[in-house]
Amino acid sequence: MKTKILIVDDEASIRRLLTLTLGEAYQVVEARDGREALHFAAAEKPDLIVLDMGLPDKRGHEVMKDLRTWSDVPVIVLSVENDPATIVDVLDAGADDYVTKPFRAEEFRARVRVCLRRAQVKKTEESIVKIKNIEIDLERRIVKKGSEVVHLTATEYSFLIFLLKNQGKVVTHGQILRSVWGPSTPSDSTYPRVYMRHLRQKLEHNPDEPEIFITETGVGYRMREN
Amino acid sequence: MYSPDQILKGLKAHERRENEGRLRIYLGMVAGVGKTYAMLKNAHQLREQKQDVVVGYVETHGRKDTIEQIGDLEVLSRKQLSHRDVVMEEFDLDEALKRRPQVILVDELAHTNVPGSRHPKRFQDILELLGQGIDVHTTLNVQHIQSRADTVAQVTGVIVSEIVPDTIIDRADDIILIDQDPDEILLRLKQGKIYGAEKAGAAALNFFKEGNLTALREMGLRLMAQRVDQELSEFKTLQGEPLGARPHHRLIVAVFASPFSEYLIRWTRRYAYALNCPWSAVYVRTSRTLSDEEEILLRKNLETVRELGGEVVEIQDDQINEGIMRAVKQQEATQLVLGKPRHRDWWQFWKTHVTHALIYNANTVDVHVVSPPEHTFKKISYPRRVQKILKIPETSSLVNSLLVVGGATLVNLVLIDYVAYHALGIIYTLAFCLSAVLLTHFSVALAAGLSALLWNFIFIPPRFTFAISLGEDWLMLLLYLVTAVMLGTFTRRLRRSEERMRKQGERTDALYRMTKTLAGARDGAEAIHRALEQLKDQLHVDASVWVLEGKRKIEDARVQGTFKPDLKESAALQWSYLNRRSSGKYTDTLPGVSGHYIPLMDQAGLWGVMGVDTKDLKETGTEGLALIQAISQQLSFALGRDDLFRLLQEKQIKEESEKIYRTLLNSVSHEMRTPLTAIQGFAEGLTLSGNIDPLVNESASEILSNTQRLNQVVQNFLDMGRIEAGQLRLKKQETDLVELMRSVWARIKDGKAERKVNFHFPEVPAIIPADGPLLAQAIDSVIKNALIYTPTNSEIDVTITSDGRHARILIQDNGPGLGSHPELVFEKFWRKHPEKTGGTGLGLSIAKAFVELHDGTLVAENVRGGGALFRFTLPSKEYL
Repeated sequence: MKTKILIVDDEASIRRLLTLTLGEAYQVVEARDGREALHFAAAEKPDLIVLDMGLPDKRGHEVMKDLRTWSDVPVIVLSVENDPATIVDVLDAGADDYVTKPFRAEEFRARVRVCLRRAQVKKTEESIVKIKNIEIDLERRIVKKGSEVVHLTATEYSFLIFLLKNQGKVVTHGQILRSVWGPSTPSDSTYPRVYMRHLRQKLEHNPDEPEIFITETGVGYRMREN
Repeated sequence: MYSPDQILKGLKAHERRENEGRLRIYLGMVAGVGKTYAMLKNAHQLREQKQDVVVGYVETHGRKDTIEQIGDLEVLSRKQLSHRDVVMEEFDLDEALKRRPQVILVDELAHTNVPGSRHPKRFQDILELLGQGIDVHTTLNVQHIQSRADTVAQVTGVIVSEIVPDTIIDRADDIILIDQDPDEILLRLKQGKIYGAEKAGAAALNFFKEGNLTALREMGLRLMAQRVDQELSEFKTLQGEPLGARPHHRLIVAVFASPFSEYLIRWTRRYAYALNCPWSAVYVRTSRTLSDEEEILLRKNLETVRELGGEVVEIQDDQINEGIMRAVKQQEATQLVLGKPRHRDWWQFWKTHVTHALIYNANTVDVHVVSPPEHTFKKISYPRRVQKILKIPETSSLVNSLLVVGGATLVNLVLIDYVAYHALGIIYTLAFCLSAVLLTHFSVALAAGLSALLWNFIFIPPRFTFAISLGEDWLMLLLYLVTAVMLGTFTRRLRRSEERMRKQGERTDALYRMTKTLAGARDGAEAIHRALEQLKDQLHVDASVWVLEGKRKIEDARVQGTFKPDLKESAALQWSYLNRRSSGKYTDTLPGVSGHYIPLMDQAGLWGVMGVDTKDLKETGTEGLALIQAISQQLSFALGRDDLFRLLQEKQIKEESEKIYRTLLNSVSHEMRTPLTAIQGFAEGLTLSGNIDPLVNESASEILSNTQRLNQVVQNFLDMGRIEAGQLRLKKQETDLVELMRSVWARIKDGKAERKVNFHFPEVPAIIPADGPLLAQAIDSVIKNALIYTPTNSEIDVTITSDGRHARILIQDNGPGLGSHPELVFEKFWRKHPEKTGGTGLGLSIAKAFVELHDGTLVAENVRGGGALFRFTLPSKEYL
C-alpha cells in the first residue's frame, strides 16, 4: 500500500502543486481547512500531514495542538511568515518540521522523506548509528570519531542522543532545554549554545564549518541525516 | 541584617551620582593648612588628564605659593556687587553655569554671599552647580560645620557665624583631609605665611593657640573616621554583606521656642550620626499664642532640624508631655532627648516640669537628659503675662463689660426693695457668667472689680459708702471677687479652646474639600483650574500653573491662571523648574520677589511649576503657606495621574496600530507569497519534467529565476515597510556571532562553492545580545553584495573581533571598491549597475537599518590598494 499524505491548505493552487510534487510516490488526500484536516486525520489515518499555517477557520498551531491530543502522526508545517517566533511556537506544539513558502520541490520532497523514515526507524532501533565519520554505540554508550573514542560528559552525551532521536528534524531551544536539562530550566538559558560548541569541537571534522550539527537561526538546531 | 531603607539609600547614592556632579571637599582644621593649595595642585593634575577644569573662585589671601599655584589654569571673571556703597567681588554663578566646565573650583564653602546674590550662602551656589552635573571642588574648615559649631565654641570660646549644614558634608563624594602639625601652623603664622605679615593681628592670634589647634585637629580627624565608618557600612550594604546585628534605633528630640533647643538638636544629630540611625524632632503646639520673637526662634529651630537632615513632627496638645509621647509612638522612636530643666519659677511650684513628667511616664523609650552649656542662654524676652493682661482690649469689649455691670446694677436697684443685699451678689455673679463669654481677659477683670465696688457702694450697708460694717460682708465680698475672676478665667479658657477646635476643624475641612475637589477633576487642566479656585477662595491669592505636558523648556509650558509674574519673577520660576525646589518669597532662593514658586512633581517626574502671588498672603502667614504646600502636592498627584492616563492611552493606541499593521503585513505577505509559491513550484515541475522542447525548458528556468528574484523583492519591501513604520521589534537573545556567521555562510555557499572566503574567528566566542535572524539577514546581504560585485577569482576576508564592549565584523574584498562615495551604497534604491545585477537596491539599506536597531553601526569604506570593507560594530552588553 502506498504511503498516505494529508495536505491541508486553503489555496487550491498550492494543493495542486503539492499533489503534483508528491503525487507520483504517495497517495495524497486534500483538506481545505482546519476542520476538514482534523476530520481526515482521523478518518484516513495518513502517514504524514502537510499543514499550512494560514488557514481560514483555525490557526495552524491550534490545529496542531488539537491533533497532538490524540495522534502522533508526523507533521510538516508550511508557512509564509518568515517569523522564527511563530515557527518555534508550532514546533513546540508538536510539529516535526517546517518549510517556508516559496519552497524548492527538491527540498520539500527531501523533508517529507526524512519525516517518514524517522517515523519508521522509531520501531526498529539499531544499537550502532553512523553519521559521516562518527559512530555512536547506544548500548555501550561509546562515541567514536573515525577510529578514536571521543570522551563526552554525561550532559554532552544526553544532548547528542536527544539530537540523534530527532535526526533530520529541527529541535527548538525550548525542546532541548526541557529534555536535556529538565523542565525547570529557565527558557533563556544559554546551555544549548555552550554545549553545542563542545559537541562541534569534539565531533565535527571542521568545527568552523559544521556538517553534522546545523544551526537554524532563531529556531534551534538540526542534526543532519546520514 | 540591614534594612531595605539602607539598601535603597545606598542605591540612591549611586543613582544620584549618575546625573549629578561630584562634590569634593578639602577639609582643614584651620585657615592656612594648605587646602586651597592642595585643591589647585590637584586641578593641574586633572587638567593633564584632559579634564576641563576651571577656577570659579579662589581666595589666595595674598599667599605667594597659592598665587603661583593657580598658574595657567582658566579663571572665571568675578561678579561685582555693590553693597552699601562698597563694591565687592563674588563668585559668578551664572558665568559658571554658562561656561559649564567638567570640574569647577570654588573656594570656601562656608562663605556668606553679599546681599543681592541669588543665594544667601555659597554652599547653595555649589548645590546648584552639582545639580547641573558639574563637579565641584571646594574647601572648608572644620569649625564651620553646623554640628561641630557648638563644640568649637565650647573649646575655643569663639562663636562661629558662617556655618554650613551637615547635609552638604554627607552629600560630598570625597572629603580630603589636609592635616598639619599645630607647631608647624604656628610657625607659618609667625612667618606671616598665613595672613600676611601685617594682618596676623590679635583676633587671629587668639584663635591660633596650640590647645585650640589640637582640639580642631582632633575634630577633623574624628569627622573623617566617622565618615570612613559610614562609607564602609554603605559599601557593605551595596555589596550585599550583612552589617551585623544593628538594633533599629530612632532618636526623637523635644523642641521648644527656646534658644536651648538648638543645642539639643545638634546634640541629637551628632548622637544619631554616631548610632547611624534616623532622628526626628517634635514640637508640641499648645493653645498659648507665641510671641513674635518666640515664633521666629521656633521656626529657626525647626529649620535647623530640617537642615541637619531630621524630620519635624508637629503635634497639637495642651498637655506637652502627652503630645511628646504621642510623637514618640507615632515615630516609633526608641530614644527621647530632653533638656535638663534649669530653674523653676516660684509661681509654678505646683506644676511638674515636662522633663520630670516624661521621665516618669516614658516607659517604652530611653530618655536622655542633656545639659545646655551656659553660652546658649542668650536673653530672650518671654511674653510677659502682665504685659499681655495690661494690653488695652478692644473698646467694644470694654463697653460690653460696662453695660453688663450697669445692667445688673439696675436690676439690683429694683430688687433691693424685696430681697436682702446678700442675694444681690448672686445676680452680679449671674450677669458676670453671661458676660464672660463675650469679654476679653482685661474686661473680665474690669467687670469683676467694678461689680464688686458697685455692690459694696450701693447695696452693702452702710449704703452709698465704700465702708463695710459687718465682718461677714467683707468675707462675702472677697469670696465674690475670687469666684468672679476664676469663673471669668475658666469661661475664657473654654472659649479659647473652642475657638481653637473651630479653627482646626476649618483647616481640616479646607484640606478635605481641597483634596476632594482635586481628586474629582477629570483631567490635568481641570485639576489645575480647581486648585487655582481653591487658592482664590480660601487664601484670596492669585496663582498660576506652568504645565510642561512633555515640553522640555519652561518657556514652552502652558500657563493657566491669573498670576502674571514680571521679568524678575521669571528668574525664580526658571530656577524652580531647573532645580526642582521651591524658590521666591519665603525661601532661600531669590526671596526678594513677590511670588512663591513650587515645583509640581512626584517620583515619576516634574509636571510643572506653581507660582503664587504672596502679596495678599501676609495675614494667613505660615498656615497659608502650609495650605499652598498641600494644594501643590495634591495637584502634583493629579497631574501625575493625568500623565499616567495619557501614557496608557498612547500605549493602547500604539498597540492597536501595531496590531493592525501586523495583520496587514501578514496578509500582504500571504497574498503575495502564495501565488509566488505556486508559480515557482509549477515552473520547477516543468524543468524537472524531462520535457525535451528547449523553448519550454528555457522559459521554465527563466520563470523560476525571476520568481526567486521577485520573492526577494517582496521580502525586501516588507522588511523596509516594517523598518519605516517603526514596527520592528527586536527579539534579543544571547547570540554567538561566530555561530551566526557559520550558519549564514552555510546557506550562501551552496552554489558559490568556487568562491574563496577566509574566516578569522576570535579565540573566545563573541557573544552579544542580538536578534539572530535579523542580524543574519544583514550579514547575508553584505556578503552576497561582496560576492556579486567582485570577480570570481577574488577573495573575501571575514573577521570577527570582540573587546568586551563591542563586537566587530569586518567583511573585506579585494574587488573594484565602492567608488568615491562609499556611503552611497546604503542609500535606498542605489545600485551600481542596475542593468547588470538586478535586485531592488534595498538589501544594504535594510542591513544598515537592522544593525542600527541593535544600537550598532554599519559603515562601508574603500581599502587602500583596492577593495571594499564593510564594518559592523555592535554593543556587547545591554546599556540601559
